[in-house]
Amino acid sequence: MKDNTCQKVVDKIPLYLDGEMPENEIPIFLEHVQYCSKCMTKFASEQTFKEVVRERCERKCISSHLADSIKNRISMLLARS
Amino acid sequence: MTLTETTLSKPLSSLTASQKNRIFETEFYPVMDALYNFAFRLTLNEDDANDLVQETYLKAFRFIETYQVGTNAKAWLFRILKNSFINDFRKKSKEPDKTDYDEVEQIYNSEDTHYSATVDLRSEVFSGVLGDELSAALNSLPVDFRLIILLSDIEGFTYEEMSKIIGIPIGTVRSRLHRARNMLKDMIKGYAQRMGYKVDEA
Repeated sequence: MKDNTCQKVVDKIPLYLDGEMPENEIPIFLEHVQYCSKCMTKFASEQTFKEVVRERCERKCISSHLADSIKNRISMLLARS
Repeated sequence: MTLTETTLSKPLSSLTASQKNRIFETEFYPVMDALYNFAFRLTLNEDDANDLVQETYLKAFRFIETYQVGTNAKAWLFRILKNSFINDFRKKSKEPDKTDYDEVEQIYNSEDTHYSATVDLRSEVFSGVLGDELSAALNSLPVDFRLIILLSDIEGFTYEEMSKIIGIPIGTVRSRLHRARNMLKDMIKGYAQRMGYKVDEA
C-alpha cells in the first residue's frame, strides 16, 4: 500500500517542480514528501537536477551587431508600410 | 487611447506603422536574447542561429496582424522560430520524413530498457556537474528532446505554452519531457561515472 502511494507521489514530483500541480493537491503532496525519506530523496534529486539545468547552462546572447541589423531592417520595413 | 484600445477598435488589418513599432519595441525586441539562445541550442551553429533569429523577426513583421497585442509575445515568437527551424531541419536531414526522435523514441519507450522509469541519481552528482558538461550533454540530445528541455527548463514555459509552441497535446508534453530528462540524466550519469563519482542512490 505504502509503495503504491510512494510511486504515485514520485510520479507527481515533476508536476510540482514545473509549477503545474493543482493547488488543492499541493498540501497533501508536500506532507508526504516531508515525512517519507524515500520520496524526499527523489524529490531533492529532481529539484537539484532542474536547478542545475536552469542555472548552469550557459546562455548565449545575440551579438549587438546582429541585433542592430535586425532592428534597422524592421525600421526600414515599417517606414515603407 | 491606449495601444490596446486603439488596436481593438480598428479592424485587424490597420495597425499603423507607429503601433507596430511600439509592439516591436515593447514586446518583441526584449525576447531577442532568449530567441538567440534557443536558436543557437537548436542549430549548434552561430551563423544558422543568426539567420533563424532574423527570419523570425521578419516573419513577426509579416504576420503581426495575427498577433494579439499584450498577450504572450515570447510564446508567439518561439513558435515562429521553432516552425522555421523544423522546416529547415527536415529539408537538411537525410530522411526528411523522419526526425531523430522516431529512432530515439523506440529506445526510450521500450519496456525492455530501464529508461522508462525515472533515472535516479544522487543529488551530489548533479551538484557537481559543470556548465560545459551540461552544455555538451544538452547538445547531444536528439532535437525533439533538446527542444522540449530548452522550452521547459531553460525558458520556463508552462505545459500549455509548450503544447502550443510545439503543436502537441499537453499529455505528450509531459511524457516527452519525462523521457528527455531521463536521457539527459543518463548522459550526465555516464560522465559522472567516468569521472569516478558514485552515482547510484544509497
